[in-house]
Amino acid sequence: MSDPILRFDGVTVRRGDFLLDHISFSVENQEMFAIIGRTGAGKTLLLEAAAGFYRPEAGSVLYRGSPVLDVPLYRRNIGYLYQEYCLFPHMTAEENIGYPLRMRHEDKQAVKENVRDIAFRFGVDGVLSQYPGTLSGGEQQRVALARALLMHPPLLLLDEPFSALDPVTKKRMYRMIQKVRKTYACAVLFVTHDFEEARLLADHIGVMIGGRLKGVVTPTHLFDHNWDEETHAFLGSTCANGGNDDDA
Amino acid sequence: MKGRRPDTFVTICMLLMGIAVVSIGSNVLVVVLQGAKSLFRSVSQSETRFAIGLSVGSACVSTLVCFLLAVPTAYVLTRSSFPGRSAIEGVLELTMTLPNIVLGLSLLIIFASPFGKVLKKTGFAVVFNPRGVVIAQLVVNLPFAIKHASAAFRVLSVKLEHVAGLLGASPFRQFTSVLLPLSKNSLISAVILIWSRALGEFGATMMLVGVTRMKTETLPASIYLNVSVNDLDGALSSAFILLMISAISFLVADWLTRRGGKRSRYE
Amino acid sequence: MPLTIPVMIGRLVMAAFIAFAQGTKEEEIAKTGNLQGKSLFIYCGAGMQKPFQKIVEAFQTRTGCDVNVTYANAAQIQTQITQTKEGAFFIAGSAEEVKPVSNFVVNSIDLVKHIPVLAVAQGNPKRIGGIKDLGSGDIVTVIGDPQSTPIGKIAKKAFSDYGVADKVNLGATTTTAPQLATLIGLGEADAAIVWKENCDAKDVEICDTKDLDRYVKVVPAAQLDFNSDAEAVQAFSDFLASSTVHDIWASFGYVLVQ
Repeated sequence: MSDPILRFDGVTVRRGDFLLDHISFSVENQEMFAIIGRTGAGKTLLLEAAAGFYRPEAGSVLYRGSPVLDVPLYRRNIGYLYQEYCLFPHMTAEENIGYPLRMRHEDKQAVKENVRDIAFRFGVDGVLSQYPGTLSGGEQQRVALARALLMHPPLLLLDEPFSALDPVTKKRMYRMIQKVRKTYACAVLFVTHDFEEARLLADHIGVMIGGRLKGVVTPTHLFDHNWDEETHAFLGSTCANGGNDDDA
Repeated sequence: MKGRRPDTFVTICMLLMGIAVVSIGSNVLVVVLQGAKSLFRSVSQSETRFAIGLSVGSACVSTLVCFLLAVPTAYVLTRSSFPGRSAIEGVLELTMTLPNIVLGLSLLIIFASPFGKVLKKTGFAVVFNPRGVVIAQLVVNLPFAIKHASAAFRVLSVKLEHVAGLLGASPFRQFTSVLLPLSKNSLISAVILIWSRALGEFGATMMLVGVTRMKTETLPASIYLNVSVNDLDGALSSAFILLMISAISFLVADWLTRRGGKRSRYE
Repeated sequence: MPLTIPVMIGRLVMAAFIAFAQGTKEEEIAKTGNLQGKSLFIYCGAGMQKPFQKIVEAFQTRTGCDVNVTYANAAQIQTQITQTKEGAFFIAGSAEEVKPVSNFVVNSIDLVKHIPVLAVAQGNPKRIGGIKDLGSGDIVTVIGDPQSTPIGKIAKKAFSDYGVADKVNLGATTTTAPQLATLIGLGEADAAIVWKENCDAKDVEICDTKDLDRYVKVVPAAQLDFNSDAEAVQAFSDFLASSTVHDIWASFGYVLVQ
């Protein structure tokens, strides 16, 4: 039995007003894992801790079996998509996507070919010469995804990837993420405040309230699990319209 | 929509701007009008030409060294955390409030000490030497350069560099491919600002290198000499030359910061 | 095209940097002269630039000796002398200015008289006749700082000797004498006590009075006790007593010491 691709062991991180309180869970290889919680519950902090941006006060984050902080940032090969995409504004879409290869000193021709290839797959080959500032939200996200996936990372971290999209684009992106997981054989950990989304896409769902992970379940058992009162209230468990919180 | 009343707040701001323009512009006018009179006489003296050369040359060198020190310092101050960082930041800002003449005195003491004499023997004389002009400018400007560079870096979210790191960029590559290009315009402005300050620096320079014609005489020093003998026209024509050099440098900065393709939807 | 301008600027900066590190070449001086290759460093009060520069140039041409003169106010020169312990001569505005560095002085030659005068606006519109007139309320007087400038000390003494010390309407005190003449020229003051050579300015004239005759000082050339070239020092001392130098002083309106 191989190590899970990502494991949180009693991780506590404090950053300004945000807190992760003794978080423990694991993500298996090629698994799709969703963390749901309110906006501002520290979900971004969890992803940042998973990527090893911050040293936990307590506990440890293990990536591929060893502490993520043991490997320098630029060698970890983890894909990360911030909510605001964080595309480099001074580079074109092509330069953004090709960035990982350029950092590894690949020759220009190889970079160009790889970039065109992946851009085509994500449907952004038509905007390669444009700067991020002139792209639509959906285009920016796909460029950011292509950039994150260029080096075939075993783990992809997505921060509220679908919340800013219109319903039609959202559906398209759901299909794209599922395809990505298959094509790139990577595990995906994403955070969201949309329960339906989590149930639709994930193999496992973790519920986070007040910096604590209340539990991890499969989508079918999201509402009928033996949660405490707080979590039931959050999930609106027996709510007719499927549990879409109005404070989301 | 004819005859729309102009907004009060905007009007007040424009009035205040008018005061600012007059405050600065009136002095520019004085220098230009009075200085133009004996400009030709000034420039035809080899002493003035030497002073121009020394001023511009020393400003270039001191600004270059200044930023070679300030940029890495600002990088560490804004991107790393280590014990005593606030203390170091505090120390770096301390000399900003000191009058330049005091810095000059302090430098004089340092370079006239046994340490300074040893340096002199190895060929690196500073006191009463043109090199001292560069050092005086450097020491006076360094805290400001660090502050400007830090401000330029602080404004940029560190997320971009984290992302770059995850994409395979070492800290050095993060710096050169993300941080520097994005702070380019702020840094260029800071360089021009510091260069102008170096050009006009006088108090510290005078203490450390004195005023020796054709050797350590910068344009500000030449103004001092002129004022000392009541040659006000001569002083103002040197000031005029300084203004012209400044104006050219601003044009250069403007040209440098203007380049770049269409970056946003509304350009 | 866009690349060549930064390259040019870069080259200029590099050239300046190399000059900084290696040191610039000294000026070529007259190849003739027996003090070829020697050098002297001299401190001189900023107010005496014009005549002293000519004196130094004459010396350089005649002997080939390289003379570096730095001009500043007295306080600064005293600091530089005390800190660096370098230099051959200090040409001061008066003997008092040499006192703080007297430990370093070997001997002192008196060069010319330093004559204090009462300066007034061109045409003397307020009809000022002497120190006593400064006591009337409508005259604004400016003087040098009595603590740090000899000319200021002279002014203070003159006021008390003529009994107007508490009646003088003192507009300001300044740290350099030429500033005082500037103020008169700009109409910011009616009278000032300055050195005679400071009155070579627009819209300033010297009041015709003997009141300040008793305060005449001397400009000393103080020889400093540091490792300067003995031969050059001696040659310069001798030169200062020569008729060439006397003529130069006279041409700028200075009166020789008998």
